[in-house]
Amino acid sequence: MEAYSTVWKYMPLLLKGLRYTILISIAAIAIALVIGTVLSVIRASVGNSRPARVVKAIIGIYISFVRGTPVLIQIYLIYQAIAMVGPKFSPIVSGIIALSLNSGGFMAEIVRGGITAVPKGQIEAGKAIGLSGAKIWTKIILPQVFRVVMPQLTSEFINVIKVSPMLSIIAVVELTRTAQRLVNNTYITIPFYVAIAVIYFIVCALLEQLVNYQKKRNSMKGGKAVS
Amino acid sequence: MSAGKIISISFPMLMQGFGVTIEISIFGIIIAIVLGFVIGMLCLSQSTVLRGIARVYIKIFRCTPFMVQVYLAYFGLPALGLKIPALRIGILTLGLYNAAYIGIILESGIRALPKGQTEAAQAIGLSRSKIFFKILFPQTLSVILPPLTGQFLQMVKDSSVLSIVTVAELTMMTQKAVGITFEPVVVYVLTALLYWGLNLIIEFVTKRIERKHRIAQLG
Repeated sequence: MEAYSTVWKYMPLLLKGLRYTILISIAAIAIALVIGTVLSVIRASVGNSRPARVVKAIIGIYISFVRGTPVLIQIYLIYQAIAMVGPKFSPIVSGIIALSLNSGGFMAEIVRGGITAVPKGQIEAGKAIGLSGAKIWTKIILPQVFRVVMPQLTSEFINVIKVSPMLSIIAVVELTRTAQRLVNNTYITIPFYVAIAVIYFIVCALLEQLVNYQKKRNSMKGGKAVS
Repeated sequence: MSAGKIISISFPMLMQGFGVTIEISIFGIIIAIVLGFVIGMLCLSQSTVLRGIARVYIKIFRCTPFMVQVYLAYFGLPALGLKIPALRIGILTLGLYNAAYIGIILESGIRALPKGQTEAAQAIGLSRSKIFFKILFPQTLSVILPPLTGQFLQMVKDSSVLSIVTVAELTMMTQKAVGITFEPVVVYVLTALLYWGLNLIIEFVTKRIERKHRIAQLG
C-alpha cells in the first residue's frame, strides 16, 4: 500500500502528462477533421472525369493504407521519415502529425457517411437558387453533416486518446511516457500502470457518456439529417 | 546500402515476425470469439447480476488503452506468481480486449432482430437454447459478419502493440531489421505493405464469405 501513496505523491506529474495527452489528442482530432472533411468533399464533388478518377483513387489508397496498417507502424514511419527529410521536429509534432494522418483516414469515412445522409436534392436546390459550390457545401451540406456525425466524432476522439499512449515509443512525454519515467525512477511498476489505467478510464468513460447523450439528442431530432 | 541489399537482409527477418503475427492473430481471434460469445450471452441474459458483470467487463476493457492493458498484464501476471511467456500474455490480452467488442457486436446483432421472432418461437414451445441457436443466431449471422470482420482486422493491427513487451512479432522484427540496416524508412514501408496486404486478403476472403452467406440465406 505504501507504493500507492508514492503514486499519489506523483499525481500532479501524472496529471501534467494527462494534459499533454488531451492537448495532443485535441490537436490531432482537429487536423483529422479538416483532412477528413476536405477529402470527403473532394470525393463527393469532383465528378467522374479522368483526372477526377485519379484523385479519387489516390484518396482511396490513402484511406485504405491508414486503415489497413497498425498505428504503431505509422507512428514510427512518420517519425523516421520526418527525421530523414531534415527539419528536426520535436517528437510531439511528429506525434501529432502521425495521429492526425491516421485519424484523418477514419474521419473521411465518418464524414462521407454523414454526407450520404443529406438528401441529394439539397445540392440541386442550392444550385437552382444560384449558390456557388463553396457556399452549398459550407452553408447547407456540412453544417448538417457535422450535426449528424457528432457522436461518431466523439467516438473517434476516444479512439485517438486510446491510441495516444503509442506516442510514448517516440519519446512524447504524454501520460503513459510520464508513468514509464516514474516507474524507472521509483522502481514501482504496477501501481503506476494501474493509476494511469484508472485515469484513462475516467476520461474515456466520461466521453462515452457524451457520445450516448449526443446519440439521444440526434434521435430526438427525428434521427434525420435535415430536421 | 542499396535497396536490394536492405530488402535481402531484412525480408527474412520480417517474414519470421510475420509468421508470429499471424499466429498471435489466429489464437487471439479464437479467444476473443469464445469469450466474446460468453459476454454477449451474459449481456442478453435475464439476470441483472450477470448483465452487470458483462457491462463492467466491457466498460473496463473498452475504456482503457490496449497498450496500458498490455503493460499491466506483462508486469502484473508475473507479480501474481504466474510465470507465463510474453507471447502467451500477449495473445491472452489481445483476446480479452477484443472479446469486449465482440460481445457488443453479438448483443446488438441479436437485439436488432424483431421481437416477434422470439415470441413466435416461444409460442410453439421451443426451449430457450433452441430459440437462440436455431432461430436467433442463424439470422443475426449475416448482420454481425461485417462488424466481426472489422474487429478481426483491428486485432491483426493491434497485435503490433505486443512488440513493446518483447513479443517477436512483425513490428519487433522490423525494429531489429532497422537496427541492422540503419534504413528505417525502407524497412518500415516494407512492414506496412505486409500488414496492409494481410488486411486486404482477410477483407477479400470475408467479403466472399459474407456474400455466399447472404445468397445462401436468400435461396
